[in-house]
Amino acid sequence: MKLIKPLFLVSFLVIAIHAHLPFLSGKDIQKILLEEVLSIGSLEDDALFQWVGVISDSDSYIYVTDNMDYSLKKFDDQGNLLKKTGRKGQGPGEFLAPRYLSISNELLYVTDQFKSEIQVFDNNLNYSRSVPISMPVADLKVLSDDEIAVATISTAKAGRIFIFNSKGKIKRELQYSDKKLPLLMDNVNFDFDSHGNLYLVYNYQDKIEKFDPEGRKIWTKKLLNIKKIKREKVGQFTLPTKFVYKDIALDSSGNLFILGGSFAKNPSCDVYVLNPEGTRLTAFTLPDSSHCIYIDSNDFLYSRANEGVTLKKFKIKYVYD
Amino acid sequence: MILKIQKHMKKVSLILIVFAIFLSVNVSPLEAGSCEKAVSNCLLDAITSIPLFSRVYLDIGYCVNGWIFCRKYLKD
Repeated sequence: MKLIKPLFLVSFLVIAIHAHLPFLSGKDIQKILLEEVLSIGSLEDDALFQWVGVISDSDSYIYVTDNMDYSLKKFDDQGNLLKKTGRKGQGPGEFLAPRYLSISNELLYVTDQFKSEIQVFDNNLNYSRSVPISMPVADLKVLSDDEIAVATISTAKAGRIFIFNSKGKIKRELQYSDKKLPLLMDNVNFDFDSHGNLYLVYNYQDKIEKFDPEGRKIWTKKLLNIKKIKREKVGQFTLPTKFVYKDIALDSSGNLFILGGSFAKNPSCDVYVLNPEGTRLTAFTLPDSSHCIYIDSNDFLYSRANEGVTLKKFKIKYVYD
Repeated sequence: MILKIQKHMKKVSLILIVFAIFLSVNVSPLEAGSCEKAVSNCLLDAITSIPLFSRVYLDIGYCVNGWIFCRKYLKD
């Protein structure tokens, strides 16, 4: 009986060390495998019509914006639709084109392509309030209820991530580029790690960057060796039309997962994995093309299938040296 | 002063109308893709809403943002 306690402690330690062995011994990820654990929506049902944004909370509930259904949907971890809210309209809790999602303190922040505000819902999808944002939102990450980071499209103030407070006032700006570039050339998707470091992928440049919380650049990397991005005439504008990188997400260890665009070997499917120092570790290919990737706190990766009718959830399996 | 502003507004309106007409007759090259068609219509809507011309730059931003999203959603 006396032995049970120490035995239990020893076995716990062995399991804990074994689980963290790759990190303790400094081993790098050699390969990443995806194991599909959930699929929501199919061509045969109407769970999803054209999903855009996805996020999950600490209880593993999954929230999705559905562009063609003008709605925000909540699913359980088995993929059952629990609730849906929203309809087409300009009013509170309504959508014209729901887009990106972020979560903070169990509150969901939802952007809309054509609304100059971010709508806030509780985790039961009840509309709570709106944060006025006076610029088009290209990407979003809510750091806290009083710190909403937004990437935007602005000719006057390009190359910045804006941090808004809960009232929609700009609190601070993180300037990542001071060069005067042609329209959209400094468009980015971004994410923050748990230390407040900012990671950027440029949509129309072969460039990935890391900044510290004070806005100092730590490193710049390029993965695909693309020198020049072709620009084409779109209406009266000359714009870059091919994406280099489409999205970025961080796993729980701070590794960067970067979704490649048109220049990838498998467009919109290839995902490059870098460590927090910017060293390329490996790459893998999604089974279907996606416009985004999202990784939750338990290292499940979410991506698209069937052109937006299906949401796939994968367990990330790390293979070490 | 008011007269000056009125004159300036007339000028801006005129420029925007000319720009809108120019856009509307220039739609054909955009028909190659659905995103381009959508952004063309969006820009036209933005530019022809003359009473709110102070919003034109912002609306153009929303149109371009929509175009980026459209292209991003496509595979290539």
